[in-house]
Amino acid sequence: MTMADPVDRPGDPDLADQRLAESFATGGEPTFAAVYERWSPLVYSTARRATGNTDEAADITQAAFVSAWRSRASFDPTREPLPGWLLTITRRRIADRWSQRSREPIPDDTPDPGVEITPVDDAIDRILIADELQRLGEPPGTIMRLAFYEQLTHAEIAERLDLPLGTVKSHIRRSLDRMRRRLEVDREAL
Amino acid sequence: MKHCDPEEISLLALGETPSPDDAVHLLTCDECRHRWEDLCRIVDTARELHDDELLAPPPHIWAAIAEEIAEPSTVTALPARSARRWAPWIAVAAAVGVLLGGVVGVALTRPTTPATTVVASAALDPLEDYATSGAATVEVVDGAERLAVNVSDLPQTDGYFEVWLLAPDASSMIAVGTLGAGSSSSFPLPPGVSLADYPVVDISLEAYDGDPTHSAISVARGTLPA
Repeated sequence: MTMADPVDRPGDPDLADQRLAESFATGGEPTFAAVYERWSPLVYSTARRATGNTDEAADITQAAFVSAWRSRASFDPTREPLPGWLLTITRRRIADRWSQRSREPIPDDTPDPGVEITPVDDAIDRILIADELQRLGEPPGTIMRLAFYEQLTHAEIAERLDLPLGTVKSHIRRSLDRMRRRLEVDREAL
Repeated sequence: MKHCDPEEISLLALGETPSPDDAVHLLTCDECRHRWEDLCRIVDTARELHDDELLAPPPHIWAAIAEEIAEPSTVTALPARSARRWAPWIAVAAAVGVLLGGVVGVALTRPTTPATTVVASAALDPLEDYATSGAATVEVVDGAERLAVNVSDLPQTDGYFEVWLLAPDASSMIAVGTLGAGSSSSFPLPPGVSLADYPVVDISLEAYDGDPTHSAISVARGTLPA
């Protein structure tokens, strides 16, 4: 599945992600730092939701990225998306924590107040959708937030933002399709 | 039978009312119904998202990873930003305000004084153990680009603070100038430098040691919008 069209558009976040993924296996620490900057919120937030505990989420993030660094040569950008690959590692590190916890209690592993525990796969869906929503750009980002959180109809959004009805409809379709495709692509790797 | 328009299916997933034809079609067409069900799941999940769904890990995690993977004597660049918080409500408010104002994004020109035009700005957020924060602004003053930096809470030091422009992966950087004592300075941008290639504004803490390179100690950082 193509992640971005071949035309080089400066500032295209999909293209930037793709370039980063392509250079990850052979790149050095600066590339790894950029990968961490781009995708550590996905890893950390998934772990935080799955464990309900921010300290554990931090430990899992650290373990996951150290694993990712050590096994980066095995990552093949033509076979799988990098975020899916990172989330696979994250899921394994979360599983390690669960099995460790069943053998010996982990001190301070009680959920932090306000952090809801979610099954890993649901957590991943939420995080991928949140990430995609954040990357929509404008005006689709605003349109989708108004549709999701203020539950405005497309006609109300068009009026609020002074945009043509057809434009709003087409942004809504494209944005939801992006999210659907993102779930398919990154889930396929898991 | 004619399929539902994909745009209409998207609106239905968001809870809008179907036309009688679409309603009948959805009951009988597996393809359209699958699409509709997929989109409904996405809409339901999106509506459950919390303000703090997507959080950056605490800054010390990168330091711990870098230490674990570092080979002896290599200096590791810090990641470009420290903490990032995703707040849909604030984003909606800000974006609506921006759109209603007729200006999309921060990259468009907005005249401040007749001769000065702000072309981009970025918040500078503290890194690691520092509390320094502020803003960096790219301005065109009488046709020439300048980088204005304004920060507060600089740490105490026997050295000085230097302003840098970094590539997104911190693999290359350009020294822009030394931050004055007043913690607010404006520098001409070196000619030929593309902010698209060097969008990260970095404030480093330098010692008076005769070494012109980056000390690898950064106190604040921010990324200019593309």
